[in-house]
Amino acid sequence: MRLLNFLKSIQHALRELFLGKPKSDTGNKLRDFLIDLSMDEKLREKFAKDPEGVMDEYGLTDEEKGWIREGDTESINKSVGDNYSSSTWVFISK
Amino acid sequence: MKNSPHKGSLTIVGTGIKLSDHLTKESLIAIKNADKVLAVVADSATFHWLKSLNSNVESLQAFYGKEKDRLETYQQMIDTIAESVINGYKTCAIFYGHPGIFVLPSHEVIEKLQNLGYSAKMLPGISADACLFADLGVDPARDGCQSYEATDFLLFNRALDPSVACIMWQVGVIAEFKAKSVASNDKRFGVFVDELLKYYPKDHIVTLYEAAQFGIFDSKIIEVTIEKLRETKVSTISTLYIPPANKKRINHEIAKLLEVDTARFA
Repeated sequence: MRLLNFLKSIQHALRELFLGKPKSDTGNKLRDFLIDLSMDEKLREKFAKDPEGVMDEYGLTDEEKGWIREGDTESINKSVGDNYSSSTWVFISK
Repeated sequence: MKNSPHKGSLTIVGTGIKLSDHLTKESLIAIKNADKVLAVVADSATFHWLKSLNSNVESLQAFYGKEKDRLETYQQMIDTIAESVINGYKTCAIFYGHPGIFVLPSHEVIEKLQNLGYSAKMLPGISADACLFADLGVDPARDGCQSYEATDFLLFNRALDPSVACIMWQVGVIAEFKAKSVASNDKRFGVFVDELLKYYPKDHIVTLYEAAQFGIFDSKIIEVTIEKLRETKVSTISTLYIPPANKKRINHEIAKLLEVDTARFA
């Protein structure tokens, strides 16, 4: 088991070396904006009344603001972590 | 397995579809109390939020690969989760949506660990069809509900009853066993539409549905006739809802045996 764990740790290190760390480890204003909106009821109310003002407060780029206005989840997901898009397919027939 | 002699254990939970909003209270407790959390979620915002609940969260996302067979990916997920439990960790594994719906590794790792004598269980989560029933205002008890994974429907001669509602899952990834999407003008999607036309009239109106992933958005609901499906954009998370095309018919012989007055259904 120790050998297996050792090999797994090498595999993990190599994966990070070649593929990089997941994007979630880096700062991301759009991601923080989405998380805060999901957690903070008052912020949601504020956003409903003044979406542009809230987006400005979070420093979103014009492109990101466009995605939010249009409900473009695909672009948002790509921006906050492209490597996560494949996770929706977790089923396959055997 | 309530009295397992082993220290390690597994609880599998689902985040639901919508970031932070769909997590049940019992799932939240399981995440917070775990020694180790292994997550397969839909986006990095959800992953980051999970880290705020338990700092020992690791993503299993790196096991996916665009040219990699998903069965290999799932086996790696199973092995990683099982290894954590066998190494003595109180482990919580997290999947997107309901952890037991369209998630192969969750069921298999529970079976594997239970066979080895470990405590392993699953908690329910909110799935895409749960969102669909709410958003479309349909009740699966009213006319019944058939539910097929689109590729499974095509490959295994599944028959449809047009008097029963139908949910077709994963219509955007038909016959795709790696990590690519299939466009609606792809010939595989065309095969799917042709098959539907054997059961339904071409002008039957169906709904392409995507549950809202973030609270600030509405779910995507696109109504279209079956013949126009080919011209409509489908995504990797599209689900197709087909309402009944025919009225249900009473079985009068059974009704008589059950002493049911059929006039109430008139």
